[in-house]
Amino acid sequence: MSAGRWVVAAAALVMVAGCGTGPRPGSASPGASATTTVSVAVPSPSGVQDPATVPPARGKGCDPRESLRPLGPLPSPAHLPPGSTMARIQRRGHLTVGVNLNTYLLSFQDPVTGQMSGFEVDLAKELARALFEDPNKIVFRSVLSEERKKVIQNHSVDLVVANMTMTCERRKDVSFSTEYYAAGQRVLVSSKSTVESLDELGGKRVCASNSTTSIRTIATWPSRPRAVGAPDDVDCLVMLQQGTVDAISTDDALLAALAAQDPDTKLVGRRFSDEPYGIAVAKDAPDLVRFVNGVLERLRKDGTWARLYQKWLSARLGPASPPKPRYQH
Amino acid sequence: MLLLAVVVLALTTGATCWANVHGLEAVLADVTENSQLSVAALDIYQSLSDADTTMASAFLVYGSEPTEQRKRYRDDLASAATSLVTVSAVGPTDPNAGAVDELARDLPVYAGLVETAWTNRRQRLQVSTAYLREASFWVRDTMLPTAKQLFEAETNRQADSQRASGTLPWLPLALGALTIGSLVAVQLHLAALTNRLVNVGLLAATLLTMAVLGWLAAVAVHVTHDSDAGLQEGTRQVQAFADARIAGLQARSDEAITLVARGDGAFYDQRFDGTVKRLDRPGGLLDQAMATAGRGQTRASVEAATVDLRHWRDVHLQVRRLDDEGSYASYTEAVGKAIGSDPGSSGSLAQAFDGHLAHAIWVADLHFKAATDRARGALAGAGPGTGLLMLLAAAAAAAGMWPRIAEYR
Repeated sequence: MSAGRWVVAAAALVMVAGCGTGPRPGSASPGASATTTVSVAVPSPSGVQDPATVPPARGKGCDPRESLRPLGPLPSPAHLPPGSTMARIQRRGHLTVGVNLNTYLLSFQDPVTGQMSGFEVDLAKELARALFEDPNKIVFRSVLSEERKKVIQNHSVDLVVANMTMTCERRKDVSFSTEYYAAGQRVLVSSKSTVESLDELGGKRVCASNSTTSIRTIATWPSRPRAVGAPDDVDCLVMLQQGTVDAISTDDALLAALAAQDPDTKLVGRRFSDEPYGIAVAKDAPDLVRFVNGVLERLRKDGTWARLYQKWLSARLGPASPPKPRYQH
Repeated sequence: MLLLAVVVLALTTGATCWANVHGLEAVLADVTENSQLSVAALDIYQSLSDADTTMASAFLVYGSEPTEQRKRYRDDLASAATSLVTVSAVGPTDPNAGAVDELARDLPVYAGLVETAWTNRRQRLQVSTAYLREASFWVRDTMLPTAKQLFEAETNRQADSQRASGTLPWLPLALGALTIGSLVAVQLHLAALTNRLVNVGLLAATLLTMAVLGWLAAVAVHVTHDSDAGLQEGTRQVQAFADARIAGLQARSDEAITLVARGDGAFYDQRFDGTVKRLDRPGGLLDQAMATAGRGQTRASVEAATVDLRHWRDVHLQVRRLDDEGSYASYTEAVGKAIGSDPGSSGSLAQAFDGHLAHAIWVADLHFKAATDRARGALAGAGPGTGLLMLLAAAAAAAGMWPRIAEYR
């Protein structure tokens, strides 16, 4: 009889065990907190190259400033040589120019009005005026620094006016006009920085636009800074403001544009490179090169260049006179 | 000793019945919770994608800050944040907790970048577009893939739970059969031994056990059927509709970014074309959605979405033509065609496309909830019910056998 009672007790235990609530699948036990280190990802602009791809050297064996001499006086819009590149552009009805969208002072779009303005924009409009009498018969296309050669070579634009440094290496792929602005590389840092030049930026991250001569200069500097490339100079400014780069080093005109957007930065040091800007033209259009040079010559002589420089750049970069043209023999 | 065996068998059957039903109820509760989680994960994806596209489009509109788009963006962020709270219910040790944590950390970063972009824009500074591009890249490259991954993980988990709820309760049924078998054997044995044909207690026990087995079998069939119905109609539909919806959001976003890039957006335009092909080709995402759609509302929604997609594709071609022309005037016209508020703009068509699929998802989710509710209804009370009945059966068996055993001593 006592054995029977034991059995009943055991059975009762079995029943109780079967009814026991097991843990539900997929639910966490309360209070089980694991102390994990939280790693925070930092945003960065799209298209950043870190480390930057270093473009080829400038090349030797040429004078990068030498361009084609205009053959005679500048033809008026009514008298463009028939069959020339200029006549073709005139027939199309507008000039297509590749420019930066976001380079304040040189070529930029007002984000509120959508209007294009700047030193390079005004230069381009003068070229349109020389072809059409009307400076507004012009279509601007946005080009990033890494695409400037490509859009000329595939003829999606007639000209590129986008702070493009003339080099012997680049002259293999595109033609250039005479120099329209003499720039030089400098360094931009935050105002509390004590850095004065690239010499003090060894191992530090220094930003410039992808595929520019600036990138190469940074990457090959003796102090070995770490070159970081971005699609646009303003992307460099974002990174400087977010603390993901230590400095920006590119042409002084471009740095002035960035400094104008952030009073908490400063341009430091002297110019340490030679950056002659030229208007890029397709290699198969030497007549257009000569025409553009003719227009540039007129702008130098009749004071338009000085007026435009005064309007856009002299306040930030000091006085300058139009760069002298050099022609091939 | 026979009494021992019979009683233990009966009680064990009761226990496993109860436990099995209880386990099923737990699985179904999980299924319901998981479906809420996967719907919330999808909402996070949709809210973030819409916020990104709205902001990119808003930047295209010249003039002072467009208040309508800003409000829409704020609503999107709020919706994403609320859904994020829902998915955090998984708890810190869940395999998806990492993804939820990431999204929770990334959301305020995104909001900060957008506000910085607007502040700089108010000052007419070009760096504003760089901040907008960074914000957009942050969403597309970091947050949306995580949200999509979370949605897929939750949906898979839901499907797994549903499969688990569809298995028959073999153990209790086997034990029950064994119990009946042993009860019958004992009754036959006793009948032979005592010349009494009917032992009331044992008979009652046998009948009770058969009733319990019947109840359990009926419930199991019901739940399996409902689970299957839920899986078919609900979960698979939601997945197919969601895939199409996500593709639509990606396409809309790419279209806007192409315009923002102003001549530099070839990569995004190509991606738009690829996404539309993925949606529209035979056997593509819309075809798959149509295949899982039932009759009625879901079918109508998918059909309407397909029509909208085709219109959208046509308007998109016009937008591209205008943008590629390159002049300021044609660009402004392209932007108007893309983000204008009239129903023929590609933005409106994209929104209609999204709305139809959202409706289809909502209907599918309702079906799923109904199936799950039916299953839970069938289970109601079955656990304690079968357990108690088996307890009674054990008592009846004991009551029936005890006098005979006492006689035997």
